[in-house]
Amino acid sequence: MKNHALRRIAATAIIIILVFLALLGFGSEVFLRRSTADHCHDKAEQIKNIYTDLNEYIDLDQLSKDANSDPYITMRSMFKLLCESYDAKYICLFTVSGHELNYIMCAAKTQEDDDRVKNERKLGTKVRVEDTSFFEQALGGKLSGPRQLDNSYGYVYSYYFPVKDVNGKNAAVIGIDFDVTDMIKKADRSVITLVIQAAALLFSVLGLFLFVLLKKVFLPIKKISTAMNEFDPEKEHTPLKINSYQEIDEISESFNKMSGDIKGYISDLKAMADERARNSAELHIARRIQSGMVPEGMSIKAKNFDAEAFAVPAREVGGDFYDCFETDDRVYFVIADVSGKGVAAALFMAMIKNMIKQKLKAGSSPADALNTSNDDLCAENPEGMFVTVFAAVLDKRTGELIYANAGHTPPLLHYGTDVRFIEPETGIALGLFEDSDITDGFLILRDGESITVYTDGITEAVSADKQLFGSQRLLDAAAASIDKQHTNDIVKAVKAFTEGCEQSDDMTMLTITYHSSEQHISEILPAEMSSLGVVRDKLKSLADGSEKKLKIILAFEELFVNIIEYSGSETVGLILDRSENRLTIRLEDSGTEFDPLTSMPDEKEFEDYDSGGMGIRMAAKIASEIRHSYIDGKNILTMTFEL
Amino acid sequence: MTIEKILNENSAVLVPEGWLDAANAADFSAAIDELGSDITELTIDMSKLEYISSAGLRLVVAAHKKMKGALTVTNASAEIMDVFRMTGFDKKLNLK
Repeated sequence: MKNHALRRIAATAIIIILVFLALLGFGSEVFLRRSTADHCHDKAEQIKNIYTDLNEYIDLDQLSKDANSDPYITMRSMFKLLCESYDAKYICLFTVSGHELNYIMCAAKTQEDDDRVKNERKLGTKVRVEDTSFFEQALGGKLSGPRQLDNSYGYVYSYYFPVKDVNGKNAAVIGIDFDVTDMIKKADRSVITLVIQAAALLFSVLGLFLFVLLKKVFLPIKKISTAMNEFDPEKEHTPLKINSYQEIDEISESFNKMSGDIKGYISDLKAMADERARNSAELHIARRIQSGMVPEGMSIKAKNFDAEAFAVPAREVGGDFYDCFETDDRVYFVIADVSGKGVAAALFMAMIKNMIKQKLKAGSSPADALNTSNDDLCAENPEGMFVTVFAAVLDKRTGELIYANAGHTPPLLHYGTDVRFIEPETGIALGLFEDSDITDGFLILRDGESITVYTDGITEAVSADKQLFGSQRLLDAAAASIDKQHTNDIVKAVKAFTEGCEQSDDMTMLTITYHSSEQHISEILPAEMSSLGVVRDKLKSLADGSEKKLKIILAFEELFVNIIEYSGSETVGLILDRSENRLTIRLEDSGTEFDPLTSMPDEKEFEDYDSGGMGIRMAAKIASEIRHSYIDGKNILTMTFEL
Repeated sequence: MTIEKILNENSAVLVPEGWLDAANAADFSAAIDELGSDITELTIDMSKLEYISSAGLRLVVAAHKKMKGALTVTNASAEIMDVFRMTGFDKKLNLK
């Protein structure tokens, strides 16, 4: 426990006072004793002067002979008179030989003492002393003393001065004893009184000081600290009123201000917390809405294709999306990555997804859908957001995949153990520039072949040691995936790679696997008449049992001959696909662009048909659908026949 | 393709057999061309014809022109009749 400040101050002050009193007592005692000594010294000096004036020298031999001689009595009387005059207790005359004093005479002030010394220090009395320094000093010619003695003769200060003999030599010593018992007692009493008075004064001052300190400092501080401890921002707070020194008042005012501020902050914090809760709830709803639009996982197993998707935003909502929907003949799929993350990206995403979907559904090719979407975006894009998109249409009958890429990552193709990136001509991301000029590309998926599209959140997933997942790991993970669950397997690899790391970007991936019909033929033929018979035989067997068999062969022939005669292509790619009630023929040539449907000649008079011009018309009547497209330098003609 | 040809004094009968498509049209065209100018009436017997495409139809029109309308088409199969109907030939040709 810490020392209590008031107690500490009091203890220190008491110690200081006690030391001061001790010094005061000691000092005044020394001073008073010194005064006493000075006083006695003065009298001894006067006695010495008087004596020296009266007696230039003494005749020791004469005095030592007889105590009853006149000079002896006279001198003794003079000693007694001096004692009385100068308040000396005793005056004695003696000689010194070594450590022995030979008394000649002694006189005292009072009769009682005088009688006593007359007897005890009579002529010839010898007294041994240890310390002879005072006597030696006196014999040297000085007035020495005080020698302090406390014996049966009382408490005395003794002074000594020399007397000369007839030869003018210092031969004897006169000692004067002053009784200082009373003076010392008086001095001690004075000192005690002084110390007591000083103590009383100092302790009163200390008490008053401590009282003021307690009342004006410590109690207010205690009050403030109690108020601080009991401070509850929830409760009404009565401002502290402290009437003390400026500093303490300032602390109390600071506390009043601080408590007011804290209340303000707390209420702000509460408002913020409420708002955050509301935002969080709204984000949660947004997440659910987005999950509805872009489910975290999807798995479709249809007759002609499988689709498998994965999408996990880095935040509550994200800007990645995939889309996959089908019509009778086609599967459409789109994957995109909107710039930025969070709500802004999610809003943009919802708009783009719908925009592209509507365009594809309305029959636009992927490139047309992306180009027109780009036009729409550039017209209304105040935030300058952009989106990379890969959009594709898979023809379920032929495996033909028409795709367009707006700045998106290159898709992966898997066929058996063969895994590779396709590098589609990459247009620019949508929303950046007005003329996006994205073009369609196409490829033919074989039975069991898959295409996997993904966002850069996959390739740029970061591991604990700051490595990117990268294209090579993606290829490796795809190659290791042999059970056709490519998205699932690759996502597992990415998760293992990034174990223990926070996901930094939205991750989205989609795999589409094509399954052709059981009767599916794909080959490349020379663009010659001889190919007619080859295909005819195949058609005969594929359309076996159908009454339309010959008409289908007729339609095929008309269009095939048209290619041979006018396209200039050396080969023709052929795909024949027979499903339950339908037969599809896809012809692909690398000749000049020619759409037989739009360049069909007008109907003529019968007589003019010897120059031809009825073949395509017949084919159009026979087929339930004929579609021409010119992609990547290739004419593609797809005919469907209901059986 | 096999084309049986029966010639009379000033009429002829052609009996093409099998498939009359773009690959074989030249054979049939040659058979018509070989007919002399003394032949003024032609009958194409389609009893042995399985199939005809626009390449064949063109030759029928050409023969019709050459005979100045004196062309008769006989024994056309239902399939071939469908093709004639599709092209409107059924209304122009003398079908028996």
